[in-house]
Amino acid sequence: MLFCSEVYLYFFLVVFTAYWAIAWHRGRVWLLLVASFYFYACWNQWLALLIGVSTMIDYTLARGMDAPGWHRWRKGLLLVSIVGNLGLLCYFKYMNFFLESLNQSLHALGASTSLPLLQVILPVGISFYTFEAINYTVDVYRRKVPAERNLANFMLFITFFPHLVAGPIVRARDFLPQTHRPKKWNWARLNLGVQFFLMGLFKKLAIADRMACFVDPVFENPALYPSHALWMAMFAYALQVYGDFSGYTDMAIGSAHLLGYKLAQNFNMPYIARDIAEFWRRWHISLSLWLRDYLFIPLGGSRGTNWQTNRNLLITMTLGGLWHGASWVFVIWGIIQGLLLVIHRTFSAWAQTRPLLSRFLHSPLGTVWCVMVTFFIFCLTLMLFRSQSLSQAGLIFHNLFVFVPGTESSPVHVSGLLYTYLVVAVCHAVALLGYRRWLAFKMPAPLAGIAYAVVLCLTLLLTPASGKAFIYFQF
Amino acid sequence: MPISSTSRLVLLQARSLRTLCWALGTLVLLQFGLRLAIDHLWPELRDPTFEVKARRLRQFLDRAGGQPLTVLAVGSSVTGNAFHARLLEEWLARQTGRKVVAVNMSTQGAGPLTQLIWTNRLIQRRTPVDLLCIEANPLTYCHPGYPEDANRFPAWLLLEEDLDIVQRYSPDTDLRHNWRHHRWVPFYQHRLAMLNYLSPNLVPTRDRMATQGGAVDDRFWAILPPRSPEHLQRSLAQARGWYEKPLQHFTPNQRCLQAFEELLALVQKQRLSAVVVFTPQGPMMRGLFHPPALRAFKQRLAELCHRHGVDFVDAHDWLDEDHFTDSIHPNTIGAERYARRLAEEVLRPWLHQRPGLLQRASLR
Repeated sequence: MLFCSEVYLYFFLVVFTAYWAIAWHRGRVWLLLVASFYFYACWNQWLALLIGVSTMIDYTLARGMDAPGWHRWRKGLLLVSIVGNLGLLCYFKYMNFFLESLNQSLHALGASTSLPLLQVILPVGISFYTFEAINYTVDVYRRKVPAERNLANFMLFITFFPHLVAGPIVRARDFLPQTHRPKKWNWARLNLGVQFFLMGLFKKLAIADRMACFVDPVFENPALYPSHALWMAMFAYALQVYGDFSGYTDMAIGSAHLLGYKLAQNFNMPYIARDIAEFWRRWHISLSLWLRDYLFIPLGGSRGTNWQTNRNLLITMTLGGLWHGASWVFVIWGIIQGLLLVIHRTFSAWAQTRPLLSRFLHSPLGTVWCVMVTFFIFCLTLMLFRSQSLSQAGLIFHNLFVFVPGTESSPVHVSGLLYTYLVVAVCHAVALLGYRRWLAFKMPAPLAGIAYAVVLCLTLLLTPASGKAFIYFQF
Repeated sequence: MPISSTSRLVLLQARSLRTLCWALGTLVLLQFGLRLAIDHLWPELRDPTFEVKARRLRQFLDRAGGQPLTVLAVGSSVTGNAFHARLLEEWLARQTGRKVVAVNMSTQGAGPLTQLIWTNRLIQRRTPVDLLCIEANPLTYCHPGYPEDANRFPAWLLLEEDLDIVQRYSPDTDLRHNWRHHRWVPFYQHRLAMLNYLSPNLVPTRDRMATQGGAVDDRFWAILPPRSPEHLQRSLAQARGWYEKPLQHFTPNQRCLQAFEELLALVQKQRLSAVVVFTPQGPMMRGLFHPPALRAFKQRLAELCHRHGVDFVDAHDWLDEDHFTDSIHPNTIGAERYARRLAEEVLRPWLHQRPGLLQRASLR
């Protein structure tokens, strides 16, 4: 059930109406819980059961950890929880990848037999909800949050349908207190939810899905296309992946607001980041923060020597890459992101000793230059992210930098791409110049209402013939 | 006096409620307005391929005034390239001394189903038609299963009067329901047609609607300049690759024949003067057919025409290879030659069968 589908609209209308019709707070929590399981069961009933069971186990373990007691007992429970969640993730998501890699290595060594692959389907959103469960048990262990006593509240934290399948990765300390607070009907909040949902719908349907129509044919068979088509597909894909994921997040945040819940911000105009470190503070913020708090800092963070910090960065980003998907393409993509962070750190330290360079980099012109370079480098790394295999990535990079005439004409229309970039740039400029708050809260009501309707009509108009699933569902 | 936080909250609530009401109201108004516009003022936003031509035809008829002699051709891109409407219009005007309007109402990939739907639309709008040239192109009959052009008529492209016709030939079993489904959300239902009409550059290649490729004149004759010998050879090889197998085992699609017969019956019922022209092809394409199968097909078409009182003209071998760009689509030289032969072998006898037209001409 995609947020941008008609089915979701009907589903949400029913949930929304029933939710606000029930005056009893506990009843509302149970309603959301049932709705969330139904939402997930639309993909697969058995996997919905799997989430249910794993959530109950985490609930029990956290309750055990919360009880005053022996430190090693608590540590043991934490270990069980982490191993259980990561085990689930590894079994469903990475086992076949490991087996395939092992088979390839064995074949390279001359072995003739292969280990059989598992016949499993990947549960949608498994990477998101296992990370949420881990952050909860770790925080309970660290005594940063108390273990939730109410099972329904805890299950809602993990399975709340707006964030269930593609984030944002919700923190227990942000979400659980909200499940205790009775909700009151609030027109302002409703308005905010509609705003977020419309913005997300526009990003997904009018930008991401539209760009996908241009990008997909090129990546299906990059050898057929000339170099300039690949360059255009690269820039189109940058818009697609941003529109797709941030659009999903906006719709999730909007849906949650409509039900009286607040989810964390996940994107903050990442394409205007001045450097790659800032980029990761603006892109998929909830994952970046998770990796920082539960991986980078436990590894030692930036407290040690330069070499240790760089090592920690590399490990964190490599695992972050692997989180995106079970393939070597994502591992290498993660390593490259780690290397870029290391290079940026080293360069920043070096540039600080050069006053002239430092002044230029902080001037308006230097800022524009930095933003463009960061964006361009990220676009290049996206080619790897989008490739189906390393050999395809190699071919794409070769054809990007060595001119090839190709046999097919480019499916990307320059004007279509430019218009879309223009729209995105104008939206960013509006936000940067500080008009967003005015647009959201102070614009005259008739004007704002008309703007909503026009944006929705434009979104409907620009929706391509066939929709596409969200890219991040596969992760 | 400073506003207290409670008052501010009340103001914010009131503003939000008003915003949402305005949004809902505007949305309903926009959707409703567009629905009315598409249905009554701007039908190009529903089906630009047909409606652009229909509007131009109306403009020509209005400009001509009185009762001009109207000759239309329906068919595929072959007719699009072959039917040089302006030449025929000039020839007819010279012969009859009357004002003549000739328009090429063809579209890419149009088989008998498209011709049936378009002819029915013209009839429903009471378009005066003195002669309708119907294309019989064997390439539009060789697709197995449903007529190939049935896929070109999704529900949103159709008028209500088209539904019954399309339902008989379309694989979409729920066409009427689909037609009604998003009817009151026209921004969504007609989005592809609107974008194709208003800003084709924003339309991804796979969502492009069939339009006449290349340059067209004001009567929608699609102009294809002659190709160099090397280019022609390449095009011939490509056409051979595509059609060699299907044509060797050519069996006309029965549903297409059914649509063709329905078209003839419609023409007969409306007492329209019509002629079916078996499209010209180059020697290469003609050579790909199994001769008895081709003969049988032509005979079947001729029988159907005879049964419904419509003339049948076999123009299959009217043109040579160098009159085509690929042995299928006539180039400009082929189109001129085709127009001349059509005038002499179809229009002249047709005029002689209707002495009234010539008499009126001589009176002027």
